[in-house]
Amino acid sequence: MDGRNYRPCGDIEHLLGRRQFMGDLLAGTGIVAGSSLLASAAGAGEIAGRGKSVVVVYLNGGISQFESWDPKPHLETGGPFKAIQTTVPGIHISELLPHTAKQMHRMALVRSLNTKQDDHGLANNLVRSGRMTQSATEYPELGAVVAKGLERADFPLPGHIATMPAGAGGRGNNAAYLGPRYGSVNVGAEKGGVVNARLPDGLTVTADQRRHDWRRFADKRFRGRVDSAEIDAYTQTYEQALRLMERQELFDITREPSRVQEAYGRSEFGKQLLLARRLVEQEVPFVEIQHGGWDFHHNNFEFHLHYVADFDRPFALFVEDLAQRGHLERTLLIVMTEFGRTPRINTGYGRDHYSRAWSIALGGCGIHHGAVIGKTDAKGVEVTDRQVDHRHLFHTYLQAVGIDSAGDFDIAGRKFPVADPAVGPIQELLA
Amino acid sequence: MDRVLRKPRIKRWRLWVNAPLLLVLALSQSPAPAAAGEMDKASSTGPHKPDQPKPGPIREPLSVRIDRIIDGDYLGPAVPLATDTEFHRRVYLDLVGRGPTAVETESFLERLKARPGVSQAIRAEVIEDLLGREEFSRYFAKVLEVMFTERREVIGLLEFRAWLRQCLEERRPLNEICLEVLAADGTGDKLRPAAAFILNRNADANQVTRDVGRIFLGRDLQCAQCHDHPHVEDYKQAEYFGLLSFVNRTYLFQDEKQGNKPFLGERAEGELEFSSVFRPKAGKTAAKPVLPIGFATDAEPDFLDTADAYIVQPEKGKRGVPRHSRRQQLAVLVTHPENTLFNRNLANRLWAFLMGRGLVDPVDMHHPGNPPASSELLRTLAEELVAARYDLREFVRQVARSAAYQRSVAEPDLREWPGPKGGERALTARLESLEADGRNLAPRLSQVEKELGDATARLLDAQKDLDLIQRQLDGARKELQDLVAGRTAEAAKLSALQKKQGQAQESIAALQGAIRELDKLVGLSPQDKDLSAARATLAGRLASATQARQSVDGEVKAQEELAAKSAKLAEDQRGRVLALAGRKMALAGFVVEARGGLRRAHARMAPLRDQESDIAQRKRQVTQSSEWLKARDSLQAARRQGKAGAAADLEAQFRLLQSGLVESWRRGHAIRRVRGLNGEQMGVSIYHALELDRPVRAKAMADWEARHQKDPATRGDITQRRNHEADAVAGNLWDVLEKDVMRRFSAPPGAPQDGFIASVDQALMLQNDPKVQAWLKPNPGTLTHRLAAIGDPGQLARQVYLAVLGRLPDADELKVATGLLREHAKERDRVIQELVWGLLASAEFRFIS
Repeated sequence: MDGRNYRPCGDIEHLLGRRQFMGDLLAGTGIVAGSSLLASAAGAGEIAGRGKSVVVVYLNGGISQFESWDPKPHLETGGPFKAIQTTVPGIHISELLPHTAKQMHRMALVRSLNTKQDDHGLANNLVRSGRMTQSATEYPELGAVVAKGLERADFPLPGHIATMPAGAGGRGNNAAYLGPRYGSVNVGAEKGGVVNARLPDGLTVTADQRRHDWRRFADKRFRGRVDSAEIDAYTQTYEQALRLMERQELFDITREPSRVQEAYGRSEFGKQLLLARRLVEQEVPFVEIQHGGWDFHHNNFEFHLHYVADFDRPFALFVEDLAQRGHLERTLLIVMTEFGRTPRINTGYGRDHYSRAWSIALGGCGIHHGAVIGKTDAKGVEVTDRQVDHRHLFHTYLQAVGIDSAGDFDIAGRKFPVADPAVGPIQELLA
Repeated sequence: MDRVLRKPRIKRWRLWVNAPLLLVLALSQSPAPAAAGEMDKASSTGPHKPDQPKPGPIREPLSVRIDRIIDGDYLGPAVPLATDTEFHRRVYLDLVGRGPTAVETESFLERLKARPGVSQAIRAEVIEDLLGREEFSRYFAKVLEVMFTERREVIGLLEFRAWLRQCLEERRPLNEICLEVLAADGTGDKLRPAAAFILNRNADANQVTRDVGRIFLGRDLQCAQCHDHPHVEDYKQAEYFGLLSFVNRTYLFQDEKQGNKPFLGERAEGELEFSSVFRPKAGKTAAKPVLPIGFATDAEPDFLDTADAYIVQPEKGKRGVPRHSRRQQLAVLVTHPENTLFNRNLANRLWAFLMGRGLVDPVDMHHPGNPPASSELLRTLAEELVAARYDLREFVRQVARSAAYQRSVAEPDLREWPGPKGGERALTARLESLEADGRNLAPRLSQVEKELGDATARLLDAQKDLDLIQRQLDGARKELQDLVAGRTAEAAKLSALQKKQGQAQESIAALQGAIRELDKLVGLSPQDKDLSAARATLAGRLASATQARQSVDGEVKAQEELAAKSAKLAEDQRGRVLALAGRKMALAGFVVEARGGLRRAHARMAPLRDQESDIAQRKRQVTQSSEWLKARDSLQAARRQGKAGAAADLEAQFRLLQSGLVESWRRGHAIRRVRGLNGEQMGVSIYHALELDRPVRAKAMADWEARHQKDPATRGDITQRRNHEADAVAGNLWDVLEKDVMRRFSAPPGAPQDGFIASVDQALMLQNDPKVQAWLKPNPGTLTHRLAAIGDPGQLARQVYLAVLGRLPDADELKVATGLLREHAKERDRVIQELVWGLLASAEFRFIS
């Protein structure tokens, strides 16, 4: 990784211009929670010089593009909902997303995905790994690649975090050949945070220090005789663990002012977003939030009415919050899902799996804001312009945060292309 | 290839006479050269049994040869052997997957004390002791399971492990185990577990291809799936598809009658073509079932029709079983003792396992661009593995006995080292002699390279002929099928006409009968006009019926000719197909022979390439040594002259050269590498260090006594008691540790398992997990409970070191440990746990030194 295509997407002029623009807009829109959330702390320049982050909101099950990013009102495939204007002239999205519509100037859409895989599990592997493979374990997922690509020495927290509704343990098996160091660490938004990050009952801080001192004594003697990078890496894991234990409060969203907690809401999704925002502020390279259960083979419209609402308001607030705190400039946002839904509405008023023509939304760092890539035909059956797939997106995500997606990882003598070498990024989507 | 097919073939030739469409053109056998003939013998008797090493001069043990080769290449200072306790812990971890218990180490130390000066003999005894233990089979079953499955979580994993363990207990050769793993189809209770390798990969042809390449042949062809490998010149797309052609007919069959239990079915058809994504316009190439260095099934039997190509035809609810199975061919060809790629891969993987790094590293990247640290050594290991009939224990024994295995991991102190023996002059001489070796080798290399080229050309020529006749044969067979269909149609028409003819004859006979009856009536009443009229009518009908029959006769005759003609055509075509089949058989013989020639050329080439690569490596080592020597001299000169600035620069340069030099020694296994415990070693070592097995053993024995109360013979049977105890411990151990510890300290499922894994969650678990804390609590029978009963702090500290690190503490360690115990005497139990925990969490515990 030599970062050949490094893109300074957070330079000050860029940032100030953007802020000015945002301020103008805000004046007119009276957005939720407004300036009350604006942090006073870090100045723009300070933030701009800092590490990048990537946040993926993964809508598990496959959100319908018709009821979100690519509405087709008034057509038999379009369903009952209307399209509304967004803050970007000419871009219309579903009326189910009124709050997100007000953040469209910080986002971009890709409406021409054809990923040719209608199976949940397999499609999930594809969009996460950016490869054509169907094997879950063969390639590292985006989170692992980003954690490695944006890795910094002495960073005290894990580089790849998956937020969970409540404290769930362990690490994800999603780093393949990059190794578990880059696999996701599961962190709960409520109760627990990182598993095993609290001293066991009955062990005092003094006793803990004493046993670590004794361990360090043993290590020092051992390393006086023999040493290697692996030995160093191992002894370091204890020091990392201690640093992480010291920073447990970072994972505790109840430390946020109560008005902020209220603004994000009581839903699991809102709490995970708030946790994600705290982690982004700490410059964790990759955070994923799951929002589950989008597989509406029945009653698609009624379910979308509720589910999209559950997503829309907290998500828009999250974007706004990041922007106001100055972190959107260094944070890539991706609203990911495994495929879209069929244009055909089935007899149960549902939509089935459809990977031939669907959409995703992304925004923040490195992205050409307000861009719309590609088109589908009037009924949303086929892609008619600029067809792309998950592999192009994977390159684009990485390039947006300055990772050279055309390079190779060198893992213990084996060379692995960072992204599928057969394709490249969607250039017009990059800022 | 397969003589088993011969007998049914004769039967099928007979069948030909009666049922042409069912007939098979059995081309399975062809005149084979000597080498192929040898192979037949081995494959027809099932598992390979290479001949005993010929009697002759006594062979030097492999352990001695290993050291001679490594020492011969080494130019550095002498490296001492590991201390006795270092060796003891190392060999326990490598052979039975755990560190020694305090009792085992104490007994080892006593033996050393009782017989001073024979440390080597005692080390050999320890190796023998461990090789004979059931723990050895248990641990290596897990090692092989991980090698084959790479920790994919699957059904039947425990059965697979149990099967591997049984194979190892029965001392079955490793290549036989590998053969079964590739050949098994999931049927038969005894062999079903072996199918886990392919079943676990859902019989996905590409996944299986990749992993057969990686795990059995040491070649990761993944990148060659869509084009020739971009980084490895040796890995061609054709090789990938050659391997894929053996397995793409195998598929997952789920038996509905057995609750969708998975099996492997195989189809008799399915040829592959490939084209490179880099050159999409270059067109498609037909793939053939071929492995590298001249292993293939060139003369495949030809079946006239799909029904006959199967023993069981695949259909809904039926698992396809072909008469000619390409996967069975693969199993034999891959694991055959003549397959040097297989032998080298296996030897290299075992070596890597015991030595911390393969001679080829990574272990699945065998290719000329990534030569072994010593080709001579890899060749020797592979040959000896074959000579020892792939006996795992013998291989492990020899490696473990070598000084290379038993060396210290400590880096040699180079400060007092004068440099390579003989200094610069000796290095120059060595370099010159290596260059001379290279010059001598060159003409032989180009000679064999030419032979290899000729052999390849001969094979291509022979193949071209075979391909041509195959195309003709395919065409003729298709034509025959059309003609047979035509003949059947003509015959059907004929029989329809013959039926018509019969009907006409019947109506004539009926009319004639009626006329006869009428004539009788007419005779009685000649004047009856009605009767006369009726007779006239019947006569008219008879006339026309007769006419009709004549016409049918004509048609029948014509149709008979047509049918005979089409039967003749079919017959002739059958003859043509037969003739072509005969010709194909003869031509296939040439391909097989040419393939053998290619294989022999490869076999001649391999040692030359090995020498070439070793000469290059040795030259590099000489250059490195000489650069180090020069840098050291100039550094010393600069220091003597008091040039501080220059000395600093030179020192940096010197350090870089020195670390490169030391690494090259390590690569050559002249210095031993420290390596991390794998997940199993970590888990099992924690379990035994904390003596968690003791309460389990006690309970198992109590159960045994109770269960066999009335049967004193069984109750007292030592073997049975031991097995019962071992099973109880092993069962408890996997229950307690497999998920929590072993997986956490291992690479994830599906990833290469030979790397070192250190991550924060491991540290967090050892520090804070309530379960780990509970293991440290002084529960009756466990380590901390035992320690609590020891009054003397010095004695206690010694037991902590023995139990956790398998050695005694030195004076400083003893001082610090006893100091802690004395200082916090009020929290004695607490401090005991901390002492144990600190050593468990230490790098010394986590690594094999």
